[in-house]
Amino acid sequence: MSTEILMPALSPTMEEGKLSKWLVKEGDTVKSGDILAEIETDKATMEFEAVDEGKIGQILVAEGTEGVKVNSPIATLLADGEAPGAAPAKKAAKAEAKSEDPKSVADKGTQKSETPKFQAPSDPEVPEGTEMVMTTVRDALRDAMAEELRRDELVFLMGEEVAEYQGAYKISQGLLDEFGARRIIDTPITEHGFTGLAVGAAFDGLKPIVEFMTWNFAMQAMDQIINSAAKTRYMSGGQMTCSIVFRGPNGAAARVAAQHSQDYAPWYASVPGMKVIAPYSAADAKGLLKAAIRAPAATSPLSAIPSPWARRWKPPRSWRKRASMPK
Amino acid sequence: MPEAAKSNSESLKKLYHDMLLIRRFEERAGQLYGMGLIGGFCHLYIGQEAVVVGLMGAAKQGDQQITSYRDHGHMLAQGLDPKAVMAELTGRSTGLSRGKGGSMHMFSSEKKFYGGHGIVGAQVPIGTGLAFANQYRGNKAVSLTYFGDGAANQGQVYESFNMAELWKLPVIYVIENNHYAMGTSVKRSSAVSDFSKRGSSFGIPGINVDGMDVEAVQTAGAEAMEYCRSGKGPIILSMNTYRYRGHSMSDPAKYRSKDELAEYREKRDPIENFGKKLIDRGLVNEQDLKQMDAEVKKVVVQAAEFATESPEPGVEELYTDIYA
Repeated sequence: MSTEILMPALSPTMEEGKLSKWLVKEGDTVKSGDILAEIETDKATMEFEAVDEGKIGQILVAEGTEGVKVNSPIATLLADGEAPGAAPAKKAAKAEAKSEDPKSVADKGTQKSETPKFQAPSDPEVPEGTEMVMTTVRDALRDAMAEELRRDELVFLMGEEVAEYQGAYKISQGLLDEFGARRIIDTPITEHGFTGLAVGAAFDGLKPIVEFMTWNFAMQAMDQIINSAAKTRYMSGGQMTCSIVFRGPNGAAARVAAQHSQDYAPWYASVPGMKVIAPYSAADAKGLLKAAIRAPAATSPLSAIPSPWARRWKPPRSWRKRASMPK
Repeated sequence: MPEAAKSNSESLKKLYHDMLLIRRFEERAGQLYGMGLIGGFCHLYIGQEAVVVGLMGAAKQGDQQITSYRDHGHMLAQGLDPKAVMAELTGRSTGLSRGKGGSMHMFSSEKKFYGGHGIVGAQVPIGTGLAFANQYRGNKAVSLTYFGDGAANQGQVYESFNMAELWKLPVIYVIENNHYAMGTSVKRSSAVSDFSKRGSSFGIPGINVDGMDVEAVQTAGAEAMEYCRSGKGPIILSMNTYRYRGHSMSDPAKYRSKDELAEYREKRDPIENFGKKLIDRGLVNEQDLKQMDAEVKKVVVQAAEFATESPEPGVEELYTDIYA
């Protein structure tokens, strides 16, 4: 009996993806471990491997198709001796029916519950009629850093996987190519150490951006963030300045349990000497990150949960102009 | 006397003078603490003077320094005004941090002194970051990062060692082994008590130095600085030294024997021994040293007066220097 090959979730935040390329065709024999297709997630293009052995029956989703939902059938796999073009397994219909179930149950109720939708309030500073462009939070963060790296030689980015891996969550994609290994620096997995190191560089007048893969891991570095970065200006009577930005994703994430699902904003916001920023929209993320990099005090922009990164937002088209703030 | 020898003689006398200044300053600070004029914690450097003075004798302008809370000596060895240091101890507005840092938190951006840190070991990654900044800017400065035998057991020290060697950062890790982490002896706290070996798993070389001999410290310091400046990466100087007083003012130091202390004070005192050497070499006589002592005492008394007569910072200072 033929089985279905389903669109895989290739990252914890992936809900849909693009089927970029099929590497097999109908009638091909595959064994487990063979690469079936290339799939583009919200972060990268990934190879999709076969789990079971068999022969490719039908290809249900053509290559180049965007927005293919996770768990939807993309091909069929035939068992030994089965003829190609056999009827798709009933399993799919079953799964579909199953997914309908909660809805029909809800319909039986008096009211249909709707997912609340977030509507970002319009920025009062954006004049009426301003033309808007679409961008993602991810790209907005990257563009903010790239613009500031171009503007100021003292700015550098440091963290785990920020350079060659192009960012654990692909925020720093492309920065290594443009700015080189001197300014886009991969660190060992030593949050406490590299945070303190960046604080030292900031005391000496450099302007580090420290990326934490998520804020959960910054807990290892909390002493350096609070006791060194935030408090030294006060304790030195204003002699030492620590112009440093700590950034990373913060808050609840899907199905990763308590150690990876914390909101640190109120923790850090209760520390004098530290500014905490929690942007949501792409426009806020870009503008506030740029402002944070230029600020002469320790700042910690905590990005929202990973999922909104890939969502598209509409900042004004004239963003670049607006973003270059008065000195 | 030929010019070179004269200059050498002057620099040797300066080493003696600077150690003496720290000794007399710290004695006076202890007295002011006893009078209730210095509050909070106060960690005296008495006994360890040769370490910082010897290293400053080898450092160049532009080299940075950073240490822990036992920092008064480091400030004075930098040539910072004893009045401003003492006024910070008494928490006055004329202090180096305008009375907001106290004994443990003093800084001088002008002299490239980056503190004065109250958290054991925290200065080590920060000092490594100073070296990172030197490399980033492409200057030839070296970061002198001081910490004690106690801090040498902190995890962040080894995270720093790893990055410093990985990136060949110009940092000298000066481990001031005064044999007691507060009240816990090295024997009771360290699996490997030879601190020069603490970098070996990272490939960082280390040198054992007699930290009670200012000339030995200076020689080792010069060697280490040459190593760093030539781009070879970090190096460790393990300074064998001793603190005469307790960990802080409230510590009667009952965890060690009187004989042990007497051994250091009577036979290995860095100031006493170096003074004798200067006399033996005919560079000074007893009278010269007595006169120098009188001058130093005068400076310290003036510092104490300044520190007790200056006004305390206003309440409004609680709200300044928090955000730039």
